[in-house]
Amino acid sequence: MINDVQWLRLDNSGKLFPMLKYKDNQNIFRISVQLNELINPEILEESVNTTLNRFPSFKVSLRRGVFWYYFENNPRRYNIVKEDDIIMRSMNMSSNNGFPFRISYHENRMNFEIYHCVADGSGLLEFIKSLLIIYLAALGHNIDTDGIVKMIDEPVDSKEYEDSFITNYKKMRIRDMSISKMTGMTSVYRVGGETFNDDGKGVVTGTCPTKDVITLAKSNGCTVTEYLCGLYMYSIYMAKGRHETNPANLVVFIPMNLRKIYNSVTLRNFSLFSRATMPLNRQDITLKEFINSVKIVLKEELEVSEINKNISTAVRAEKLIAMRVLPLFAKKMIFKITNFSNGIKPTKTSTFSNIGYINLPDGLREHISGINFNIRTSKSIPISMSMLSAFDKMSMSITRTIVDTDIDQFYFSYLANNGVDLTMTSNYWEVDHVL
Amino acid sequence: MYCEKCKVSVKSDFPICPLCHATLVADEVLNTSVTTDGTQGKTTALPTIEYPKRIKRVKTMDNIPITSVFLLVFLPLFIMSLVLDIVMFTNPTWSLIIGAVIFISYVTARNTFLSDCGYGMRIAYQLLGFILLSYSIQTLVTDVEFASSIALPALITIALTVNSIFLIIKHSYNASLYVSSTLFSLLSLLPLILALCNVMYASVMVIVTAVVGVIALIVTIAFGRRKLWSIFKMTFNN
Repeated sequence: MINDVQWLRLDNSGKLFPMLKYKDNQNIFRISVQLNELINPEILEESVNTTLNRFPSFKVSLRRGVFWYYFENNPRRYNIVKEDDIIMRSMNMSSNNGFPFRISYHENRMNFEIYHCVADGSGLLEFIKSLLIIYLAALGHNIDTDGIVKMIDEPVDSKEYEDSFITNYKKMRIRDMSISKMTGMTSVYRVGGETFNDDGKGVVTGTCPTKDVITLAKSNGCTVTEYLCGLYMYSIYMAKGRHETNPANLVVFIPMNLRKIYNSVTLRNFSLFSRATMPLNRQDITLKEFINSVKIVLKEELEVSEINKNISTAVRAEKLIAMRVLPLFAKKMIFKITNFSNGIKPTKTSTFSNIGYINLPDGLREHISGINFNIRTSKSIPISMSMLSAFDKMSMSITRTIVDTDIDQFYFSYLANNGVDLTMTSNYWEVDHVL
Repeated sequence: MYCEKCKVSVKSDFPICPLCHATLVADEVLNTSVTTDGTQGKTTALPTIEYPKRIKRVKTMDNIPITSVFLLVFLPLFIMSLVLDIVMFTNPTWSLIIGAVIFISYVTARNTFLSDCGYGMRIAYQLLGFILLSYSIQTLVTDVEFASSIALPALITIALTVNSIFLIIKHSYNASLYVSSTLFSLLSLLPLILALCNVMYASVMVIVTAVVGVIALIVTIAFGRRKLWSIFKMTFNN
């Protein structure tokens, strides 16, 4: 069975993103794959169009309905483009033949920039894995999929495009909803600095052997995510927050993939945020304290009962009668006003996203030289950190809309000084400002 | 390349560290060429530049969406007509007719040509536009000689002129301006059609509006036929 899905509701968390869509603030993330040979654009385009037939939740265009946005099956052909110099540039939904993502290439790298309402990182990776197999097969490299890649002739399981939030929703009364926890009612530290013009973003990526980071994390008695998120918060504190005269809370959002917990195979969004918080009211906060704050929050938020409550709150909010009957333009107005006030007083300082280890077929090892993951920043939340590891390499990226590289410098130098063998790349977007 | 200050290797042709911006030193190990087939030798070396070259951008009007053009032209006109209507007390409804025309133009442009709506929503918008248009025509039939024969054509002419100025000052014309220009040109024929049907009085203003509209339509189609055709195809292929 190949794609027979004519339209799809947006998933619970995906519903929010188009509501908050601005020209210069779209929720886009990017995964790029660097191959060991130059990209052949014609074959890549053909492979993309073949792969899209297997992924109905990607072969869509975003449409406005009366009450909500929705996805409609998009029968048109996808055209790949050359990579833009501006990373994760805002998308015009009527370009790309209406597809809510952009697939581009540059030399030996292919990039996938996707609007977050379609999928999260784990969902996109499934698409990329299949595409890589098809693309390399077209080039004459037949690779054993090891049973971990969705093949084009494999039937589409309806669970792949289900809204797992709805599936795992347990009935909840309005008074039991944990609204304050989801919106965060604390005063939040905001990273300041001169920002880039024209949607420009600086990207610094560090690649290192995964075992170096694991060793370092183990020596500190914590997991890789706890250590690196703690270090990221510490870097913000040391480079910027320590010098603040008005202390606030440093709040970092950490997305948690819920697929393993709920045994879900959905390719759409299925993650929730944890909120690591540290009050910046002292001048002598140590790295250990930051790591502990992350440890505590991850332990609390990973309790199944807590996750159940958060999922149910999110779905219950969507099911409120007031939310259902309000027409889309009114909903958008409310969300944009709320988001505008968040822009003045944001609910987080930054985001730290770790996709984790990607399980790729061993046959791809000789064809792939690197995989990077970036998440978008905005002017109100001007810096974010993202990472993943594949085979034996870990890739860590800091994306920023501010010119200063103090946070990046502190973070990567700290790792390098503690024995991590780092190789850096950058788009040097700040170079006009520093030279 | 290697940064001695940050103690990191840097994979770039650019001679400065991406973290501290200090000058990099050459690293013999990193200079070893990597080849496409995984062996070392004379085959094509992989590029070391990680990102595309940065393009110097000049601000253009390419990104002005059609809705912005409409609002820029029509909203001040509507406000002016409303003020005039209230001050002169000539007729309480003719500014509302202008409002209806603006609304119809807006929804047509926003929700038909460059739309992200589904078919249901498009039909709903067009139905609403049709109801408003019917109301406007009915008002014109029963009332307001001044509004129909002078004010309405005059305002359409002004809108058309403003839009044409956009077209003239723009160096590389974009599709949305051609669409708006076509719509305005067609709208300018409406008073003449109504006059020919004896619905309203054919004043000089009505004829002037129609002539200006026809000229604008010919010029728009002559210069923008390819872009208009591509939008037409895009709309109906969708």
